Amino acid sequence: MSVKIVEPEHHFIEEEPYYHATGDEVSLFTAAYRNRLPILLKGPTGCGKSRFVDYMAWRLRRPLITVACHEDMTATDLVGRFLIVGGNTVWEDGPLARAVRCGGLCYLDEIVEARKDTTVVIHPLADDRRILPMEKLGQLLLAPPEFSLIISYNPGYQSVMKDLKQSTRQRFVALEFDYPPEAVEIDIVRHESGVDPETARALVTFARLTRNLKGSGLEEGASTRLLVHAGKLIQSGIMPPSACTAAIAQVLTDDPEMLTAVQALSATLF
Amino acid sequence: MSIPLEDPPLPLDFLEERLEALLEAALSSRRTCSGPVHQLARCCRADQEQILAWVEMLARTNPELAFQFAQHAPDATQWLDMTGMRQWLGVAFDRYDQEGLHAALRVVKDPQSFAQQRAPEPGSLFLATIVHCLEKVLTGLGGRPLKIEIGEQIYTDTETLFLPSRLARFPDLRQNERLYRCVAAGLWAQTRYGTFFPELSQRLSAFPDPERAGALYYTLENHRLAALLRRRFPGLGRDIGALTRTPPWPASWQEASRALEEASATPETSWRWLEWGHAASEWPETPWHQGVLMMQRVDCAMQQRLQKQRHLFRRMVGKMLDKHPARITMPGLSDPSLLTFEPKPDGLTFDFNLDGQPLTPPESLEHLVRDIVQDLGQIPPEYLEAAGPGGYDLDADSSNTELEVWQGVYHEEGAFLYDEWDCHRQDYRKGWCVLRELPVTPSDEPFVQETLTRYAGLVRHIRRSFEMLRGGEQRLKKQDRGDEVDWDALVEALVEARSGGEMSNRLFQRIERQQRDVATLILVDMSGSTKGWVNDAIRASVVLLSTALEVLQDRYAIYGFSGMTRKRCEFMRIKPFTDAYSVDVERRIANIRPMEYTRMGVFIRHAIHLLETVEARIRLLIILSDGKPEDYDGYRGEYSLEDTRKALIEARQRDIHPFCITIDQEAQAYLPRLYGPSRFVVLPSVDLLPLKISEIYRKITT
Repeated sequence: MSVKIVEPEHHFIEEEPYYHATGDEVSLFTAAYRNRLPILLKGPTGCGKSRFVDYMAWRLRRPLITVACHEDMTATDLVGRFLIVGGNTVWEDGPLARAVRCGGLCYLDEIVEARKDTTVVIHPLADDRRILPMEKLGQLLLAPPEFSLIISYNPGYQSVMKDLKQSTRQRFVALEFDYPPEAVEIDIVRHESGVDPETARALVTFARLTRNLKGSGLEEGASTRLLVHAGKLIQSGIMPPSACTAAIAQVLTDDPEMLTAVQALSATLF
Repeated sequence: MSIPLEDPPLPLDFLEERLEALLEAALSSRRTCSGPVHQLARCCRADQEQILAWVEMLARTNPELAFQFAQHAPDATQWLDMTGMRQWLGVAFDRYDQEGLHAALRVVKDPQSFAQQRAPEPGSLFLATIVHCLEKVLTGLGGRPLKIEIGEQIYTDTETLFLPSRLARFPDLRQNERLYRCVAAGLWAQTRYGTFFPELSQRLSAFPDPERAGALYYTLENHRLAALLRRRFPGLGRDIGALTRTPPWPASWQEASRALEEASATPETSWRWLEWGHAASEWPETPWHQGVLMMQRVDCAMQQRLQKQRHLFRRMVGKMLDKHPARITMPGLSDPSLLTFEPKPDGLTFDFNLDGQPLTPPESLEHLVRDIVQDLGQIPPEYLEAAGPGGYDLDADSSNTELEVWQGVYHEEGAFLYDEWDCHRQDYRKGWCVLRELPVTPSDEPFVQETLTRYAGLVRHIRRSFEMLRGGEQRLKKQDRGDEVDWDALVEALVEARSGGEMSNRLFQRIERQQRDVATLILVDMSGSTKGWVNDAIRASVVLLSTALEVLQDRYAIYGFSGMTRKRCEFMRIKPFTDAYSVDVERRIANIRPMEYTRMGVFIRHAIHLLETVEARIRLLIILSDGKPEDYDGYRGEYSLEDTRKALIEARQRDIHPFCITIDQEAQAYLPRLYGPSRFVVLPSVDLLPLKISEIYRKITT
C-alpha cells in the first residue's frame, strides 16, 4: 500500500469531479472569483457544498486547501506559528497563509464551528484589502488575484451560540444550497453509487420521506451523501433494507422509536 | 431437609377489617364488604396481598372503583396472571382518566372480556405499543399531520385515523405490526390523494341512496389508492398483497378495475365509475382492512378545518404582505394576481411569488398552504381577496385571543398537554395537565426602582463581584499547542533535558476566552401562599438576580407559575429567553402576584421544554418557592412530591440542572429526596432571600 502525500499548495484536482449544477451557482461562483469576492456557501449537511468547491477548484485550475473548522481552532492555527526545531524557533505557515502565498482556493468548512474571535482574522482578507496580517512575523501577506476565500455553514444548525456575525457575513457573496430536485438527486445517486435508476429513485423517495420528519424527532433528514453511501452498499451486494438501515437510519438517529419509524419508511419502498 | 411451605391465606376477619378500612367511603348500611371479603378469601396469600395493595391504590383515586375491583379481582385471577392483572388495572385507570368513572367500571366489572381480548392468540399486538412509531411513519409519508386513535371500526375523519385496539390476524407479532402499517397507510392515502373532496357529500346526496353510493365510491377509491400505493411504495404494496386479501371483482367491473389502476386515475375516475355502476346488480366488495366511509364525521371535520384554514390563511398572508415593502407601492391589494403560488413537483409545496418576485414565506404558512391544497387541490381565488380596507388581517373577527381561549370552553386549544406521574400506579397519566403560557400584565408600580434604591449597597456589591466572574480572557501556560512559545516552560524544559531528563512537549502558551455558556430559567412560585412579605421578598429577589445575570451576561428567562387543577396550569411569561431586560420586563416583575396553587410537576416539565430550545453548555432551572407542591384536586402529599421528583429526574436526564431556593422551614424533610443532598437552599427567613439569592446563584454556576 502506498500513501500519496501532497503538500496543500500542490493539491490540484486533476480529474473533473462529478457535479450536477442545480442553478446558476457555477456562473455566480466564477463571476465572484473573477471579481475577487469571497464566497459563502450555505446549506444542509451532505447536499453537495464541498463537492461544488472541488468542482470549482478543478474548473479554475487552482490548488484547493480545505480547513475543517472546530471549536478549539485558533487564529494561529489558520495563520501560522513558530515551532521549535533543533533548539531554534522556526515559522510555519498555517493553511490560510499557504493558500494566500500560492494563490489557491482556501475553503473553511463549517466556519460557525470556529470561535468568533478566530473568524475575525479572515476579515482583512475578505474585503477589498485582501491582506493577511501575520502579526507574529510583523508582515502583511497581499493576496494575489488567483486567491479566493470560501466559507460554508449549515443554517439548520444555527444556534444562538453558532451564529455567523454580521460583520463576517457581510463580506461575502452567498450561494444557497439545498437538496437537489428529485430528478437531479436520482441522477447523482445513480452516478455516484452505480445503482440502477429504479433503486436510485427509491433511495431518493426514501430520503424525502425522512426529510418530512425533520423537526418531528429528526434533526435532519437523509442527505444526498447518505443516499450515495446506501447506494454503494447496495452495489456491493447488500440487500437494500440492510443498506438503508446501516447507511441512513442508524446514522440519522439513536432513538429506538425513531429508528423503527425510519426503518418502516424504508420498508414501504424496498 | 425442610420444604418451604407457602404462607397460609390471610384470615377472614383480617380481610374484613382491612377492606372495611379501605372501602369505607363506598360502603353503606345496605352495602357491606362481605362479598369482596369472601371472594378474596378464596385466593392464595400472594394474590390476596397484591389485590389488597391494588385496592388501596384505587381507593385513593375512587372508592367505588376500588370496591368493584375488590369484588371482581379474585375472579379475574382465573383468567389473568399477575402481569395481565396489572394491564387490566392500567386499562381501567386510563379509561377513568379519559372517559370517567362509568367507562372505568365497565372495564373493572368485566375482567373476562379483557382476558379474552388480551391474549387469546399468540402474536397479538396492541395499537398502544406501536402508536408513536406509526404516527412518525405517517409524518414521514408526508402531508397533513394525522393522529391515531382506537376505534371500533377502521376509518378516518381526515384528521384522525381510527384503528383497532389490537391486531391478531397472524401468529407473528411482526406481521401484525406490518399489517397495522398497511391499514394506516391505506387511510393515510385517502386523506393524501383526494378521496374526500369538499363537495363529495353534496354530490353523493344526488343519488337515490346516498349511503350506498358512498360505500361504492369508497370501494372504488380504495382500489385506485391500492394501485397507487403499489406504484409509489413497492414495499408497502408487497406487504398489502401478502397480508391482506381483496375479494376478486365481478366480471362486469373488470374494466373499471383496470381504469382505476392506471397511473392517471383520480377521484374523478372513481366518480365516473360510480355513476356508471351504481345501479348494477352486483358490486365489488371493500376488504376489511380498507375500513368504512364515515361521511358525516368526514364532513364535520372538514368543514371545521376549512373554515379555520381560510381564516388563518388570510391572516397570515396579510401579515406577510404587511411586512413586504411592495405593499406600499402596490394599489389594489385585493387583486389576487399579485400573490401567486407555483407548485413544486411534489404537488404539496409551493414557490410563493408576489408580483413576480419570489417570496420566502414563514414555515407555518407553507404548512397551511400544503393543508389547504391537500383538501381543495388549489388555493381558491377568494382566499386571496382582501377583506375590505382592513386588508387580509381578519383579527377583528377573531375573539380567540390567548386569554379568551383559555377562559372559554376550548381551553385546550393551543395549550400544552403534559403527562403527570402517578406514584400509586407507577405510571404516567397521559396528557393529564393542560398548561398555557400567559403574559403577566405590566404594572405601573415603581417596585423595581424602589428595590434598587433600597438595596443600593447590595446592588453595587453584586455588580462588582459578578463583573469579575464574567467571561474574561485567560492565558493558559505550558500547553502542548498554542499561539506563542511559553519561554518559561521552554527554559525549564531545556534545563530538564540538559540534566538528562525527558524534555516536555508542553512549551506553548495561548490566550483562551473563558466563556460562560450558561442559560438559566428562573421559575417563580406565584401560588396563593406567597402573599404579603413573601411576595415582596420574591419580587425583590427576582430584581436582584436579574441585575446579577445582566452583569454576567448569562442568558436567562423568568417565568411565574400558578394554577388550579390539572385543567388550568398557568405559566406566566415575565421574560422569555428571547427578550432583553427592559422597562417592560421590570413592569412585569412588579406585577408578580400571588394567585392560586402549585402543581409543580407540569411546570417543571414545561420549563424543561423551554430550556431544551436553548443551546448552552450549562442549562439551569432555578425554582423559587415557598412551600410544598399542592393543588386543589388532590395533588398533595406523596403524590405531588413523587410527581415533582419524577419531573426533576426528567430534567436531569436532559442535562438540565434543577436547583431550588425555598423559605419553607419544613423543606429539609422533603427537598433532599426531590433535589438530592446539595441542590437546594432553605433560607431561615424570608428577608434573607433578596440578600442571598445572587450569592447562591454565583455559587451554583462557578
